[in-house]
Amino acid sequence: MLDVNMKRTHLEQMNDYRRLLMKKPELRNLFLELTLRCNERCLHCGSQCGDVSSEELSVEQYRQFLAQLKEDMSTEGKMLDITGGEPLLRKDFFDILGAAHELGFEWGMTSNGTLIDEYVAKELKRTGMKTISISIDGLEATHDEFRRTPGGYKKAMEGIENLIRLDCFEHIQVTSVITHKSITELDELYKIFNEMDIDSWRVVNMEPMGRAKTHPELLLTDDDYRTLMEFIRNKRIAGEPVSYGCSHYLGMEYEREVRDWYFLCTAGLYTASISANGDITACLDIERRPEFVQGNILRDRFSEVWENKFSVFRRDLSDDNPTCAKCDQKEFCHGDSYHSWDFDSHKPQLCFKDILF
Amino acid sequence: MKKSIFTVMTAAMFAAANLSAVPADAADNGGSSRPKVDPVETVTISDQNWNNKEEKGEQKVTTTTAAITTQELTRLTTTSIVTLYGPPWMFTTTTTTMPVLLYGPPLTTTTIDKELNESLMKLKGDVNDDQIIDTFDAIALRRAILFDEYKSERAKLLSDINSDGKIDVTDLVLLHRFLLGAIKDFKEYNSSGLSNKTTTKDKNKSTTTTTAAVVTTSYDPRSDIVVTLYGIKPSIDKIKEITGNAFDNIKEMAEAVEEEQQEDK
Repeated sequence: MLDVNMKRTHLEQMNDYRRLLMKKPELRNLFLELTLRCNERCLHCGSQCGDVSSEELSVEQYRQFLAQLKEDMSTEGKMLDITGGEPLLRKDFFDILGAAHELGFEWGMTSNGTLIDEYVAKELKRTGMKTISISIDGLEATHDEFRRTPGGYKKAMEGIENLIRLDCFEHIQVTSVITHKSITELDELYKIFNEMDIDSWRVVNMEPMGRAKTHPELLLTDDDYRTLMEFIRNKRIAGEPVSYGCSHYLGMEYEREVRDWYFLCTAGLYTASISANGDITACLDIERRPEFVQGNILRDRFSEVWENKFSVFRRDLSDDNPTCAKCDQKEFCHGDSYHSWDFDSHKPQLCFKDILF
Repeated sequence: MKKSIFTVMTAAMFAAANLSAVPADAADNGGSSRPKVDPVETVTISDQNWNNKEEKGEQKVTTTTAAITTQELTRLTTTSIVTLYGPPWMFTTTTTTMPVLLYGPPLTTTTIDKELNESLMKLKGDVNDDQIIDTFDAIALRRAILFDEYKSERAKLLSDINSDGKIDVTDLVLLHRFLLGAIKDFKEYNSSGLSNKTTTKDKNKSTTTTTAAVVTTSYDPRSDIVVTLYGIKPSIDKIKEITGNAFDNIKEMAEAVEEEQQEDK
């Protein structure tokens, strides 16, 4: 473990920084959920996506919104993060992102990769995509079962290869959502990805949210969590580009060791999101409740919402729970990730205290 | 998977803290799987006859190259922290009192002839061994760190700019700063010269204490970029990644020009 005193000092700085961001937020990541439709039906999907109907905005509505955003807040230092559903299911996908590119926005996306053939890869290049993260959630049988899509693994791997062959994207990442079932496959997965010319491998745990709540048997056990963190740390010690995701405060043992930054839930501080129907919120992973919708881009100016609303996200959730309020890690954790908070019982759905630290 | 300067720096950060990739249970007190650590080991470099004066009893410079303790070798504490992002390229080396380190590479001691060490210091940074220290050496050093490739054994010695026995991002930082004119001489960054090390031994145990280290600017965790999903970084961070230290110079120049323009107005 790295020096604890050093980490504590850094986390105290991060605490000060968080307080500053609460007063002066700085938009860096804007998520655009283009659709809720998906050609896979993953057991862990936080948005309950799949073969569902979805309210969607038109190309022109996105164009107007982005032009307004550029006018009010500029494109500098901001990334558009395209997500869904499976965003490539939209037939006008390249019209939307072509417009964003023309306006000068940098963008990246997350995808299940199954629709990325050679033509689509070239179109992604043409419309200026910088980064992409593609989901591979286990070895072939596990992946296909988990995503309830026969042949999904092969198609996703082909999609990744089609992207790699173009050799023009800034970052190609594979993301794996690890479950109690797939935790034993980490080493095999590493061997596969290590042979591929990808830029990084993001390894995250299945979160107890959305559809995953109906599959508690797939959630990681305490031992699984420790195994996962130790796996990532060891790969990073060996200089491999393996990383945990942004979720959760990990305590002194693993903070800064399994990812390149200290914990900071960026919802409402760096991050805002536009859901498929145009609603403005902080992070798409946060439970979809009416009180978290701060406006809609069809009737509100985004910059005004960002500046004048969002106060619901710029506070410490730990203040709502007596146990959290007394916790000695409160100033570093703040109630953990916003998306992981249970707003009915006012407590985190997943807290790593007594598991990792 | 691709290696980048960032993955190298991450590994360097862990290496500086003496961590090696071992199972978690190795850290359990009394755990049977805890790796056994060799006692202090002396490494003799035999090639190129550059260390052949030992028998004559001539003066040596001793450099501790990796810190490790067992429960017998307690409180050897040199921790280097390398920043991963954010200008300027910098690192902090702190010396603190820490509990027993439980795993890591064995302590190795490299003994170098003092006279040769001084002559080597004059050539430090000439990584591609062409008698000139320039940008090509920085490129060569990056390759050396990433792929462990050296033109020659002599080039390898010249790559260890701070003489700490390791060729890592710390050396790259020093070379960058030298090329930018921020430092004039590598001598002052010679870790063997800065360290004030005492070693005592008796029949049963050894204790080593390092009390001085390279001091530089402190690391600011806020400069790290929180990557929400895709490994995305805003453009400015990519620019910093590409230009390294030059970014600060460019930024300063741009700010100066901007100030001048405002004054003109």
